[in-house]
Amino acid sequence: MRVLVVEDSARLRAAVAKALRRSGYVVDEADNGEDGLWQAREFAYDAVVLDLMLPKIDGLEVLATLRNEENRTPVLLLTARNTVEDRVAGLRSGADDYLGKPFALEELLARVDVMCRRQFDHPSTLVRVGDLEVDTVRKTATRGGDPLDLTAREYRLLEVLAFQPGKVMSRTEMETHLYDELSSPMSNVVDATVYQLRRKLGAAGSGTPLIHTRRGQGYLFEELS
Amino acid sequence: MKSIRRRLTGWFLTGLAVLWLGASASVYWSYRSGLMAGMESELQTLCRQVRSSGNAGGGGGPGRGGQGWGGPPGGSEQELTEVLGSEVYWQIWQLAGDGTTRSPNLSEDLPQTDEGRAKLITLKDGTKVMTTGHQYGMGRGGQFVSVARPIEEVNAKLAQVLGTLVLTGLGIAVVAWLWVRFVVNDGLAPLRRIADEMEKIDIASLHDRFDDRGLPVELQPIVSRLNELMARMEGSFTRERRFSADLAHEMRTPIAEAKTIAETAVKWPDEGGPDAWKDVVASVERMESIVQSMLQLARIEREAPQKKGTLFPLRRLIEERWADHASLAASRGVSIRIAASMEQSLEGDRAWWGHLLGNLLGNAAEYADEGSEVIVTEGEDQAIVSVLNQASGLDENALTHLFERFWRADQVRGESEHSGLGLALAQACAEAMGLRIEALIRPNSILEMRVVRQ
Repeated sequence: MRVLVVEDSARLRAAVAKALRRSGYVVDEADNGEDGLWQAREFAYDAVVLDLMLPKIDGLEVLATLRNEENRTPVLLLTARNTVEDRVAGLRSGADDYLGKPFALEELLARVDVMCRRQFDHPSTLVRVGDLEVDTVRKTATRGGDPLDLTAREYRLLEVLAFQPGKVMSRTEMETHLYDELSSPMSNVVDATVYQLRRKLGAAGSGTPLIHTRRGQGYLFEELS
Repeated sequence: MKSIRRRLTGWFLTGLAVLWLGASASVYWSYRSGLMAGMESELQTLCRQVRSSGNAGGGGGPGRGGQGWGGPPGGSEQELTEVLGSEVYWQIWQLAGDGTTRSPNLSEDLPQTDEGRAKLITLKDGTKVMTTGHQYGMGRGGQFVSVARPIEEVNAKLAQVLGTLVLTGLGIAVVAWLWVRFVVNDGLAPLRRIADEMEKIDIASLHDRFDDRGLPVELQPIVSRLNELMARMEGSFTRERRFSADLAHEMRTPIAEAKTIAETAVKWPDEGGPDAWKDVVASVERMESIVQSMLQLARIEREAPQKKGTLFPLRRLIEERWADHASLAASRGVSIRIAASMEQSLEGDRAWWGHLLGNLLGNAAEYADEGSEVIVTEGEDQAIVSVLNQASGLDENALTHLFERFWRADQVRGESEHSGLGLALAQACAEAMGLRIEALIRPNSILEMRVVRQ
């Protein structure tokens, strides 16, 4: 999952980004509204954590602009303005959630997790495809009860694929979920990660192939009968 | 505790009762005196009548022998009683000898009162009478005549008057009580209105004011002072609320920073290295700076009315304050030029002037365009001090927020450790001394911060 954090306080931004990365998210950062808006337009994020009081463009304006442009990326407002009026104004501007400062880190992570799952219409923290089970809270996966030993990158890709079974996902989309804007992915990293996932998934549980190649289109994640 | 209404009513009614009792007593005693005088006069007439009856009769007058004057002067006792009436008592003494005669209805001697003086006595049969006497003639033919008459009729009339006075008094007491009650209530209505309005005042209604329309002149100064007091209280509470709200708002971000860093270190211990601690310290230092600035701001507002000014040389203070920022200015190539007009001495609180100039010069040193010059001069239009510097990044819109608490220009937000309180503090110092700081953008992006009198 890829998350954008727009916050003008450098220390808070760095701390939130670090916590999200350690929780398995790919994180981009912006320190002002203008950059945040540009990044939200340019990249497909699974969630945006947005401060309200931002230099250059106010957070509410960023949010309103995104919604006016039909950008449906879930947005969590993270702000010191924490009155009922502020929360109502934020939610009515199109925010999906609102968290006042100071906040509990676990709550922030849980809310981001919920927003990401909601995007895929998946209310549970457990995602099941056939005998594969992905726990989005523990960031672990099992197949037929056998635990899968996955790297962070492999888990991220598996989670994205598991959330959208039956959907053909292009290599570019996969890269979007695997790397932040500062990384320079090598062209074969996606293929290498898919290869490793296929190998580990095939060795556990029923061993039935779950990742299928669609030539010229990308990959399909599904248990074919 | 007695109410004013009850107290006034009590005093009014007591006063009226005393007046009424005095007036009633006066009426009663006047009437009684009149009745007594009338009766006395009547007794005097009866005395003369007894005497004249004796003279006209000749049946035993003085010196005529007979019983040595044993009967009445004008005939028998019976005849005289018929003439005078049965309720009149009389007795005649011969001055020579001990001859005396009296009316048949009299079973005892009447007292011989002093000449012309009436006296109230009680006869043996219990009848209360008024008696008087008169001496006629001297020597052998002289007589002393005493007459008496019951005072029942007088007492009955007095009792009637007394009854009338008591009944009228009770009636007047009821009317007076109603009237006094009305008058006191009407007189105290404005006070009651103020009391009702005051009862409604609480923390949430400090913006309300007492309505002084239609109030009596005696209460106008009180209400006026109360309204001034309310305005001062509202100001204090507003400042207090703003202080708390501003502080809470500004503290949230550094608290969130420190908390998130600490929670990340707890969740992933390998993230809790020296860098994390440095960040926590920096966040705490920012909180400390905010609290200190806010307390300083509150102290200036609180101490403003009591401060007394002194005379101090302005140029030396400018140089001292610039020295605090000289190294930062030098690193940015920013220099200072202090105009000759700054040789003057200023009257005011040196510490507050120090805060004020320190903030203006500090901002100039930090945010003036690199390599530019900061000029401190007396400025135009009777400004006391003006600090001018090149500020290309600042626009007119920013000027409207410059003195707001916690406002920071876009370019200094986020990475800056500034709390956004410096200029608010400077303005508070200026206002505490009856001054004001104005910000203007002159041609060529020159920012002028001028201190003027309010």
